[in-house]
Amino acid sequence: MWNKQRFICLGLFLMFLVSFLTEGYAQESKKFTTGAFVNVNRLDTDLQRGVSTKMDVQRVLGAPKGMGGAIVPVYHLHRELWYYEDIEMKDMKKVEGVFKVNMRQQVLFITFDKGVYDGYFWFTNVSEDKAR
Amino acid sequence: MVRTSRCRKSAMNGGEMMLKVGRRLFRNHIIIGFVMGLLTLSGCATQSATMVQQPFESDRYATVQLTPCVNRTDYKGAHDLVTEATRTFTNRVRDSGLFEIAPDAKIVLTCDIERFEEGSAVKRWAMEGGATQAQVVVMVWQKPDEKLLGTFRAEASVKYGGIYTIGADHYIFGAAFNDIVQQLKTWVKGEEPGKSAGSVK
Repeated sequence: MWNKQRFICLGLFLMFLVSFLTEGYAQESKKFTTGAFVNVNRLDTDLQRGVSTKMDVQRVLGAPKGMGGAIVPVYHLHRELWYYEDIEMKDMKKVEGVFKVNMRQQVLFITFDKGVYDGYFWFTNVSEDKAR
Repeated sequence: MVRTSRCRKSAMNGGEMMLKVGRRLFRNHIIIGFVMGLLTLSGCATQSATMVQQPFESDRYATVQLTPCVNRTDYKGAHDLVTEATRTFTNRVRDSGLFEIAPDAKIVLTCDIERFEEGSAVKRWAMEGGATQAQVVVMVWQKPDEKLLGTFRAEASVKYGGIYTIGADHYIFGAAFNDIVQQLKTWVKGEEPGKSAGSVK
């Protein structure tokens, strides 16, 4: 004869088993984001062009998502770059075989001249009148 | 360099914890407890990204100082992210035996928490979403000239799983910092990051 304790044990075990077997129903969220910019409002107050170091930039903005270099031909400049991104995709849906996504994209480049903060360049995919 | 892998020791911590609970619940059913422990090992994965600026120099980088982790997220839940992440980060670096930790060391390891989502095991089981995620980045600097030596980023997540993934929000930082330590080990050994199976260049 099965006693009460054994029934409880079996019940709990079945619960774990069912949770394991049905995990396929879990799906990822339909919103994808890289995370928002951090402290960009402190760019002009906390960082000084020609003075601030890379470590100062890291303290204010956090770690960059990418690093590299760029050439600005008009000014004949070569600068080291740190790259930050704030990209969010949501409301993804398939309409008549076409994927439609509402995407907000912002990119911030921090430029360094000989390892010292030299300024920034900001890009947004929002139209000019709505960009802030 | 980006690499994807399953969680290692951190999942074991969660697994061991669940195993203990399982054993207490089912004293005469150790196998059931063992199965429960095994189940907690699945569902957790990490993703790494390493950017090495300078090769490791063993004679100069033996001692490091750790700065408290900075919370860059907009998380407003019950977890004290700074305390939890800093404690985990310090323990993992100390336990790794890679460096000696000293407050005045010329090598500085900064730590940023870039993402934290508490998630929910019930949501993961019953409906969409509910992923538990943590993303951290450690940058290694050389003082006094503040030269950047390397950037090590890790994202740990439990996106799938049933109710056996309860408590993932408590061991997710452990999984992320384990991955960071693995990246640091690779850097210290002078090996190419992401050389292991499953790496993505």
